[in-house]
Amino acid sequence: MLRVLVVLPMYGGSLPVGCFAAEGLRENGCLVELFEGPAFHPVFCALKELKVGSERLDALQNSFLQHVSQCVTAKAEAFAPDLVLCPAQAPLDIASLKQLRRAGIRTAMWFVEDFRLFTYWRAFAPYYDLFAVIQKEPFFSELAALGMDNILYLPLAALPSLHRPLAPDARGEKEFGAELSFVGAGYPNRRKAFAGLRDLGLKIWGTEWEGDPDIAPMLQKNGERIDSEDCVRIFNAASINLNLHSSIRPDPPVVQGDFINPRTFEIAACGAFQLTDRRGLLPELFSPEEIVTFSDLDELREKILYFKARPEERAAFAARARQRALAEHTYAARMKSLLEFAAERLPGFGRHEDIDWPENMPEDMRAAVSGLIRDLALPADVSFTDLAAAVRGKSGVLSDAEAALLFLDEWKKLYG
Amino acid sequence: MRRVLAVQLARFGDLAQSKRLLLSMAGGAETEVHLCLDRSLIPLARLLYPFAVAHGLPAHRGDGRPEGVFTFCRESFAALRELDFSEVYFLNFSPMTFTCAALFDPEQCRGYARARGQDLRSGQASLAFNFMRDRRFSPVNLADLWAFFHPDPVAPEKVNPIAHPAGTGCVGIIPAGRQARRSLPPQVLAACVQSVFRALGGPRLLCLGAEEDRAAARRLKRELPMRIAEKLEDLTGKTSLTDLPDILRGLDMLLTPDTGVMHLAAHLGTPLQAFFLSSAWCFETGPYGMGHRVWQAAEACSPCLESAPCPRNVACLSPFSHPAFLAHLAGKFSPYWPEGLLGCVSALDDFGATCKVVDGGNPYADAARELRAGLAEHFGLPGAGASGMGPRNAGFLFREKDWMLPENWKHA
Repeated sequence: MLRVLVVLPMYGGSLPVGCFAAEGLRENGCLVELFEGPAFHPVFCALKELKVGSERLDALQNSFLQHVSQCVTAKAEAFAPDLVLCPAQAPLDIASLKQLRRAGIRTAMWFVEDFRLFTYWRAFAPYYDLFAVIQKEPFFSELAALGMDNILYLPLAALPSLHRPLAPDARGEKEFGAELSFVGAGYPNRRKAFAGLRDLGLKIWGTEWEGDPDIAPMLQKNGERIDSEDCVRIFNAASINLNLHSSIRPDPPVVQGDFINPRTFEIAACGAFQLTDRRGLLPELFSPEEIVTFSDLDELREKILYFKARPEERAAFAARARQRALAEHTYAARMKSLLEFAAERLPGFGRHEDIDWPENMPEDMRAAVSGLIRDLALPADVSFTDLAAAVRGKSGVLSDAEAALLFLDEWKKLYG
Repeated sequence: MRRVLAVQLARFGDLAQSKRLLLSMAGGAETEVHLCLDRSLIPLARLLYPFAVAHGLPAHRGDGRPEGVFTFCRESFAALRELDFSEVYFLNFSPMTFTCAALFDPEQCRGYARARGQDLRSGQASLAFNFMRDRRFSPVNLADLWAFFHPDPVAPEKVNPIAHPAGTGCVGIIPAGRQARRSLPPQVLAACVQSVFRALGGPRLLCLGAEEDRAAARRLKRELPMRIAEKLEDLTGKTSLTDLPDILRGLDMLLTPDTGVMHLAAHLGTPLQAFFLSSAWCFETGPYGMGHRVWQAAEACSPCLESAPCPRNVACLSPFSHPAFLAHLAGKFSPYWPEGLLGCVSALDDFGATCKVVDGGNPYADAARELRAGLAEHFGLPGAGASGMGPRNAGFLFREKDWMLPENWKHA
């Protein structure tokens, strides 16, 4: 059983990706432990309230992040994972990455950002053992030039247990229902593109839309942050979901970039209909029969009007997109690819020392162990060591059987 | 009826050193004391603590077979949980202890606990880890450290009787402890035995120990002059742990390294001549009570880690063969005193047990005394008053967390 420590970022778009990846790993039978980066975020924010010189603040923020990184390495030491998986922005500094490498603990970065915008990967890439990315060339070549040999194209995905069709309900319809919806942050290209769609009944959810009088009437919930569950409600309650990939420039509003954002997979898995801007890597993930695309704002308006009037066609596209998403684009599938790639590229990956089950295990122990395995949703052939690690990771007071198992684990460590 | 539990999973010596805490736990009205320990030590626990209900766990190797460990533990844990303890004291810092602590709500736990999957130390236990960073200055006997997990420990003089010779003309000898490096080799021990033999006018000698100590006993006998060897009766491997109290009660003196039997003898009031070398440090684990002598090796490297190889060929042994020491042991005046050795008498103060240095000079005494006064002040002992502890020692005793987050899980 593979053990994976997922280092959750303190906040941001890669935070849910980390949570969903952890779920995908569990679905692949991994024993997963989370480093809860968000728990440290309030302290980081408190530093910004100090009213000190910017240089001092910068130094304090960096030393705080070094401390958080040490917390990650301490957790890795305790959990002894086969892999530390870091979504982009995971709080792990270079010194800690070196420390993990010295300790023989493998690290993987899932860089779910645009490499052209977030160029800090150049500093960090050499210290990871594996780099999974959502773009292809020239990113692959540039990573290889830095000495990174283990590069995996790993697009984003959906989590079917969360991103799923919801039965219509009156409250959801009232709160989130729309002819035309968009959920996401107010990047300049989106502001420009959506400013002209008020007449089509567009409702916008998400943050960073302030200060734009054209947008303000369309903005819902005062521009509050929308959590993953409400995103699913919005996707389900919209006739048409707009999906426009972000750009830091207003022009062109439809940039026709390469990578595919998470929203594409999530809307598809919800069985909802979407209009998505044309992207270089989309055709290999979804066919034109599954997701309808647009190349510019004229085509967007034209397709909104067309599909607005054709609910059956929308439903057919949505159903096909959902089928494809469930078949190929789940976090479980992505994590399977990641683990297979790690096994292929990283010598000795996944081989950790296991303590054997006691020979002649008494019947009552067999029954209790089966119960623990069932409660913890672990595979039936879980090793003694992994079951003990899973029990050790539990919060709260342990049951008699759980404590007895851990006691036996300690006994075996001492006496063989 | 209020029920309280102490979990002591370590060895014989640690069990005996838990006495002050157990007596303190038993002090409350309508209180039933329970003790959880390795199952092999239950008979001994019944002798030491007849007021406590003993519960066994397979904490030690036992027969070396893991099959029964799970079932035994599960049944024991279920029984302990049923008893609904109001407080549970965890005495040893070990993974097994933390596993047991995971059975209880952290609010019930004293000493150590596990909360939300995280192992925790109480304020008192953390304090001990602070000052144990440099054992040379150790200000507290382990028995007192555990006793202070309790909010109202019994007075130190109530723990063990003042040591008195039985008047039988009989001296016991423990030839070896569990840790070989803590024991005097047969040749060195034989010289000490001869000195004591002379001092006491030729007493009868009893060699005590387990089956595995028989070889050491035979070697000791070979090293003794015939007239003394003839008076030595080898009882190693012939007595059980439960036979020991009667034998110890009948002794005028026991010669021993830092062992569980030493603590049992202190429990019974048998006078001790205890030899502490290598990692043994009488200021931490010396005999509890009045009337004992301790000979403490005090090289620049003392106390050491016995699991680490000694780069100095166990230099701390040599003072025990020094003619001046042997003369001293024989009760003769000598104007000299060997370097690297402290002659101590066991003593008690308001805090608890201590070893008072009467021969030789302890360069760490002032610092240890100041730390002890600082701890007494911290615990608010009656009469402790202002310790006058300087910032350097205060900085050693307390750390940033104690200063800044004093409420941080401060049970006990």
